Amino acid sequence: MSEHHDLGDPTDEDLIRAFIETGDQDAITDLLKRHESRVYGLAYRLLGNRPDAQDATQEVFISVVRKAKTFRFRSAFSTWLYRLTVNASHDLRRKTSRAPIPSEDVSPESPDEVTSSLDRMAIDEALRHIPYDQMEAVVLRDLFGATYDEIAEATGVPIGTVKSRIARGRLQLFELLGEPTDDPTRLIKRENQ
Amino acid sequence: MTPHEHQDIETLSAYFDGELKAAEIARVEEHLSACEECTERRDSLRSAALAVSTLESMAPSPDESREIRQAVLQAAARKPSIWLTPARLAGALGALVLLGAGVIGLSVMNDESGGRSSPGAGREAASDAAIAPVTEHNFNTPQEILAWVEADPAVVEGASMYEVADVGTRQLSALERTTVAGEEAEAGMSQPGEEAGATPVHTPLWGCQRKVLQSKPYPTMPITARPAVYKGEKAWMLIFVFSYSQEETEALDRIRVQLVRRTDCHLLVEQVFKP
Repeated sequence: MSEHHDLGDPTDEDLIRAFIETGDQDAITDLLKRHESRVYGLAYRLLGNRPDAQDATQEVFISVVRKAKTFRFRSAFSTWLYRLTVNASHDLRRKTSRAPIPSEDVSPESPDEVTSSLDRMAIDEALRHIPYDQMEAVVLRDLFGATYDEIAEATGVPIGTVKSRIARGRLQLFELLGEPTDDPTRLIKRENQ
Repeated sequence: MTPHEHQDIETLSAYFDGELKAAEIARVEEHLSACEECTERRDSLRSAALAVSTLESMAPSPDESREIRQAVLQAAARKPSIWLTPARLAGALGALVLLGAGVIGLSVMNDESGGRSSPGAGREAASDAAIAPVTEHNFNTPQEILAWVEADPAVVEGASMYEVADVGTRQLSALERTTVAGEEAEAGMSQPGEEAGATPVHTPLWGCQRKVLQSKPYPTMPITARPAVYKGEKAWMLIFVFSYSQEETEALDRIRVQLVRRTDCHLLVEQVFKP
């Protein structure tokens, strides 16, 4: 059994320490188990397709491995992950031009699921119509529950800018989506016209 | 802002998020209780926020998850690279048996063992190292090499740029010319994004510029360049070059020796042959 398991229920920071001090690969495996889905989910929202989300996730955790020694323990590991994910997604956006996949890749089965799937497609589509930095802030806040402080640290901008990006992003989303009772597919229809 | 003035959207949005201080909350609530317009705006912002919160957070598929884990653990287990000094490299190159149709990767890297290395430190590290090509990676296509480089950012950490280039015979001679031109420009160390010099296809290798190779048989070959992380001493670069004939690999060796001599960088030679 690896050394970090002696710590009982180790925190993320404990796992990072274990990796730095002993090169314990189980610590990295545990960090992956805990955070892979979250990192992938954020990268998917920022990049819009699975291949890029996978690349970004891989890059984020390789950065964790390579930069573990530079991790400053005064900020939370999760905040560091947000920052690495935001940066990896920025890099990938610059390098690749894969088109976003417009719909959830989950097949709806019931009429209710169809409606909610259409709703999500419309929201997804609306997110792509607002400026990237606003979308990034809104996604971090509303989908991932990041605080304004965490978003500021992850995106490298002052809190005032975060506040403004979130508010403006939400307002634009509301204007694009309209009232909740409106036809959720209109954005998609408009795209296809 | 007083309770009687309309609230801006930033304040209303932050109010919804619970990101205001107690005094601000009291002020906003007092205003909202009397202002239909601001209440409506707050509801709009809330409606958008709730809509986004209904999106599913996508998770990686089992296959994706496995690939991610493999790449990350491989990076975690990565052994220190073998550093070759210019003199050692020249000796090593003489001993290499180059097969035709080989794939050659050449990288100029910084020291992984403790951040950025100095040339002297690299030489010390290499003093007892075996002079042999590193063959832990098996590449058969430019895409595979590119994927490897991109999967492991440490490979290019500290590099000014990197490229994956398919070099045919014609391009190879151009590359040699470029190397010479690069030497002339070396003193200036031009910055990324500057225009190419003499030839329309190649820009100097030195100076962190992107070099565009347009060659067959990979007309759509991926070429990528990273923004410069130029640290002042010299342009640390990583270059992968492909070669498909004895003639080309021999010429490449000449270029490699030139690269080492001219940059005084530490070279890690990756040499893998097609099956």
